[in-house]
Amino acid sequence: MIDIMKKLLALFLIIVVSLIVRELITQREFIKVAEKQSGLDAIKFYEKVILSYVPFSPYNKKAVESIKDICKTLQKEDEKLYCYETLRTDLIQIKSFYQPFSDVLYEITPEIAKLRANQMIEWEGSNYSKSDFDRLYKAQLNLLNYDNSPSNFWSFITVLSFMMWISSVVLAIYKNVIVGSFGFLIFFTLWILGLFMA
Amino acid sequence: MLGKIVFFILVFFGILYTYSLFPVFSTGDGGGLVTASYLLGIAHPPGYPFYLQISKIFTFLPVGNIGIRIGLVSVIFSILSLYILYQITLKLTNKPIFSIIPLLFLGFSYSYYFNSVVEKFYTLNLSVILLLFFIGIKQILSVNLNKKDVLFSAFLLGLATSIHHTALFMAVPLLLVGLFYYREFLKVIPLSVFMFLLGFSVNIYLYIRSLKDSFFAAHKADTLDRFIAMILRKFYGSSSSIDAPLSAVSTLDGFYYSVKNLFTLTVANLTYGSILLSILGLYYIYKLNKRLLLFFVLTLFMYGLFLAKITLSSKYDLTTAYVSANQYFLPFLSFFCITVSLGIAYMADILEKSQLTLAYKVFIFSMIAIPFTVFPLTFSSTNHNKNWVPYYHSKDLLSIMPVSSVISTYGDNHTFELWYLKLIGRYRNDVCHITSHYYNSTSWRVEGCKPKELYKPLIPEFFNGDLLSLSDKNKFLSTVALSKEHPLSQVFYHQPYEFIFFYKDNNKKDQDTQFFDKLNQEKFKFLTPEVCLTHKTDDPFTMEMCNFFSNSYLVVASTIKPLLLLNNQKLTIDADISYGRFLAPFKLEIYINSLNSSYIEMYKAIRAYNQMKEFYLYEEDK
Repeated sequence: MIDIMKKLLALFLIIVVSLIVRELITQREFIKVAEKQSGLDAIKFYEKVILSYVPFSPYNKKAVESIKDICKTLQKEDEKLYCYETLRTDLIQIKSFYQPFSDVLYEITPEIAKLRANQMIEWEGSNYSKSDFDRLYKAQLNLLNYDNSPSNFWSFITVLSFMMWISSVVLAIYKNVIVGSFGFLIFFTLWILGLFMA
Repeated sequence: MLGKIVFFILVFFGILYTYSLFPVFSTGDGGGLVTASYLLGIAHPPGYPFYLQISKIFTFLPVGNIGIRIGLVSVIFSILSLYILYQITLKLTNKPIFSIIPLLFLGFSYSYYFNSVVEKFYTLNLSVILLLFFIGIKQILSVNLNKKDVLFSAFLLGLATSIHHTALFMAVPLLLVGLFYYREFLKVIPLSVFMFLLGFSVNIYLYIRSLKDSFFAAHKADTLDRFIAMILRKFYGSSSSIDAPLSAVSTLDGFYYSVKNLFTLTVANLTYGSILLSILGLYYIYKLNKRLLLFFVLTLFMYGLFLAKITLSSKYDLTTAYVSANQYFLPFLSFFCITVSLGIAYMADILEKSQLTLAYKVFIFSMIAIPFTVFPLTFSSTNHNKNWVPYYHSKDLLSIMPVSSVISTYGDNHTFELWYLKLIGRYRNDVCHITSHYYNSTSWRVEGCKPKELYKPLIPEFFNGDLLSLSDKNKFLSTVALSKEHPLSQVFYHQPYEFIFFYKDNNKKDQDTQFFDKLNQEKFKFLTPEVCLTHKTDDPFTMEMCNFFSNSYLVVASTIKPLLLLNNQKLTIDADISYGRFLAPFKLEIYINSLNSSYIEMYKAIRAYNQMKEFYLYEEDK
């Protein structure tokens, strides 16, 4: 049984490594294309590089910095908004137990709120005027800062205790009823708590 | 030595499937399931809490994006299923060489490959079913009843209620074999019921997360009635988990189609030759152990004919092929592969006993080689490595939206993918996304427009129910064109905007379209329909998205008019967009000129690349 578990664990690790390799290849492929492009086209390729995030890969920083630079050079407000929104969503989508480039996110959020507020005022058919800017900016900022995802800590506790209570039941069936039942009670309780807290 | 070969085969499939994953998320339910997993929410009924929690673990991996990490769940359970399949065949033949064969047959088959690279729960479901089957086989081959195995099976069946209900079909062969052949079985039943309930308790997740008001795809499970409705999938009416099997067994109507479609699916995945080998395999089992034959036949019946009667009892069309056949029949194909390998073992046995050594070797070699021959075809149609269509289809849709406007969607492809971008990626979260389950309904769900207190200051018209005012401000858009059966068609008409529509007041139908013409030209730069020319797959949902996407070229072309409007350059588009049985008009007038002809060419190229005629599992002419 232990031998089987070892093999399955090895398989799992190989699959994760193959994902890392796949993402590195993708990053390398798209960074080369992105470097030959400019403006919105370049953003779309740098975006693919960020979405294929690999920790410590030099391409991550290059793509993030390049998009930031492009955003600064764009003249039209709708393009600027597209650029910053793209950078923001790419970074949010690569969040794991930590948020890579959190400083960049912090830096560009007010810029996005500003652009959104401006766009609302300038939109044909809108009855907003420049005097509404502060109110719209604040409302957009509130929306941008709203994070609907469950707490990382409690999510981790939930899924871990979920796996543990299932394992405890299996343990109780095949090996040790007392230890398994005790484990089940602890982890099941923790799981319920996690579901409420996450 | 053969053990190592098996390990390398599994490694090969692991790498292949990982390579073939969608770059972010898959079409169909993919976006919705990823969203529900990440937010620890509730997916479409029955909610799939087991899958969601397992997927949530993978979102902590610091590689790639959240979508592709959850794609790994399908890969890992796919490999686990292949491993269990290997163990089952090894148990029956005692010869590793024959256990490798079903791995290759199944691993390279189109449906298995397809389901291993999408964000869905079918490979997880298959692992549980195969594990139950393995326990059944182990039990039948031993003399005494192993009570621990019975309890574990009951626990697994309980867990299965939180994965996919088809796993519960395994209860039938397990129960019947237990009742027929093991006297002590009855004594274990009370404790088994307890173990089943223990497994079932995973569904408590649905109740608690409903109380927490987390994301939900269809409805909450915060009361007993709603909880039961969720578990029994009452949301789907006649397709609910109780009504569908009951109506299937109450009549013989559609039985012919069920058999025919099951045959078509099997042949498409495993070739005609497999049918003969499977029959030989069943004969081999009969010779081996009659109890085993009963177990096999019952299992094949439940996952074959019975399931086909529920899901494949109509004429074989694209929907039947890709929504039902391609997904629900992985267990059947797996069991079928086992019988095929047993048939091969039987044939090999005959050759060996006849001392035809060369024929024996050639036979074994060719049986191993056959699955490799289909690999180029399955790879070329199922490798989603370059399939950015679902991602850009949804991102581009949000990109062209006016700030703080409302978009209404209908259908999985538009709704689920927008949920991913908006709720996980938080891309353009100023846009309020509402969705309806039925085309002709305005009973919208507002998961993409929560919390209300943050959206209301920016889109007060919507929350005050003043859609006309919203439309006057050019902030009411939809992915849906209005047919006369749509209730909103009484008030609004649709004005094409790239590949979506503005809803505008019927009373102002004659207003100047200059604003929309300008907007269509200005915002086209944000679109990425060229991904529709490089996805290299035969996924019908991808093609469907691309056909929507391609309309943007026509719409933009219609806005680029020459100074002199000549009738001989005029191209009139008078088509219908179908939403199930509803047909919505799509009319455009294009004056072909040197400035817009490239758009027409791109439209044609995308349509040609995404012709919905030939698929691996379905061809229109047939």
